[in-house]
Amino acid sequence: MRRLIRTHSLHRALAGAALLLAATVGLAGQYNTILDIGDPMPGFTNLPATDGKIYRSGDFGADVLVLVSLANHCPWVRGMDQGLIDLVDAFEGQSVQVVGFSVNRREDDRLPAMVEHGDRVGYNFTYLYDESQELGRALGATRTPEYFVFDADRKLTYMGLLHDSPARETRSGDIMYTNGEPTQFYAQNAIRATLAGQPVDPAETRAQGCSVKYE
Amino acid sequence: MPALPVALLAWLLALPFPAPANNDKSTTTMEVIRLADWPAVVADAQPDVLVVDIWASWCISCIERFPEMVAMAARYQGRGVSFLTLNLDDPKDVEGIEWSNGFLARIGADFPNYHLQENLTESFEALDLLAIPVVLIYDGQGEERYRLTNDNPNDQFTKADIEAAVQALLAEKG
Repeated sequence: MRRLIRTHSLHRALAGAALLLAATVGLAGQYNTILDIGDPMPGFTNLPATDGKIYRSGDFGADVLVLVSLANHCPWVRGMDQGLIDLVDAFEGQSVQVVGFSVNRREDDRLPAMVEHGDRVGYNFTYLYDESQELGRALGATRTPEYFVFDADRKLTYMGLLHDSPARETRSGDIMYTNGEPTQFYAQNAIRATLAGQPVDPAETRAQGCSVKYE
Repeated sequence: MPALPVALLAWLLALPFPAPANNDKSTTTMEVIRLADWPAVVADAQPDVLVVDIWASWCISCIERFPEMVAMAARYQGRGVSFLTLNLDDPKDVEGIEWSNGFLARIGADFPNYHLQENLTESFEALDLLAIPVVLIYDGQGEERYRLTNDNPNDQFTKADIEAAVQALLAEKG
C-alpha cells in the first residue's frame, strides 16, 4: 500500500535507507516532497494561457522567474489575489516575470474559468493551464497558492507562502487574514534577494491553502 | 468531474442551514477543544481503530469526500472502529463555523465532531500538516499508524487507502 505511511515503526525503519539514498538522489524540501532549494526548474512546453497563446518555459527570459500555483475555486487564492497582483506591480520595470498556473481539472479551475477569473480580478501576469498536471507534479505543487522563485540559472531559491498571514475569502466575500496584518513578505523578499544574487532567508515556508488534486 | 458528484456537491453547498435532525446536538455540533486537548481526545476514544478526518468549511475537497466518511462510519458500526472529525475553521470565522455545524447536521455526521480553537497556521504547525483533507488512523493503543495526505502529487490518498488501513489494523487485532 504505497499511499499509506506508517508514521512510527516503519518510518524509523526507513530512516536509515533514506539517509543512504540522500547521498545520491537528494532530499526534497522541508515542506515539499519533490523539489528542494537549489533544484533546477522543471521545463515545460505547450501550455495554453488565458491570453490565447501557447507557452514553453524558454519563453520567459527574466533574471527572476516566479511560478505560482493557483486555483480559481480556492478561497485562499481569492483571498490573496490582490497580494499577488501587488507583487507583480512591485517589480514592474525590473527583470522579474511572474507566471501563474492552474493544475486542477475541475471545471471551475479550467481555462475558460481561468479567463473569466483573471479578467474579473485583474490578473497582470501570464496565467497558464497545466492540464496534463506535469508541471505541477514536477514542482511538487500541492497547495494553492504556492510560490516558486527561480534565479537566472533557473535554480530554485524560494518556495512557499506569499507572506506570513495567509488570507482567505470568506463565504460572504470578506478577506480574513490568519495572523493579522502581514509583517513578513516572504515572496517579495525572496525575489529581491534573488535579483541581488543574495541567499534567501527563509528559503522555504509552509504554504497554506487548498489542496491540489492530481488525477 | 462526474455529473453525480457535482450534483451532490451542489446540494451540499447550496442548501440552507436546516435545524439538526434531532435534539442531540452533541452528535451534530462541534465540540470546541484546544490543541492541548487533542491527545486526551484520542486516548478517550479507545476503539480498536480510530479514524480521524481533518477538514474545514473552506476545503472543497474535504466536503466532497465527507459523504464517504459518513457511509464508512455507518458500515463499520459495532466493529471496533470509531470515527471523529477535527475541524480547522478559523475561530474568528463565525460564518464558517456556523456553516460547518449546519453541514454536519445535514450530512448526518453522527459521530464526535471537534473544532480546534487555534488558527490554521498554529494548527498546521502543531499537527505537522501541509494541507487538508487529511485522515489520521490510530490503533487501539492510541498510536497514530497511518497518515493519509495529498502532500505528494504522485501519491495522494483515496477512499480505498482508508479502507485498507482500517482493515489492516483490524486484522492485527485478529
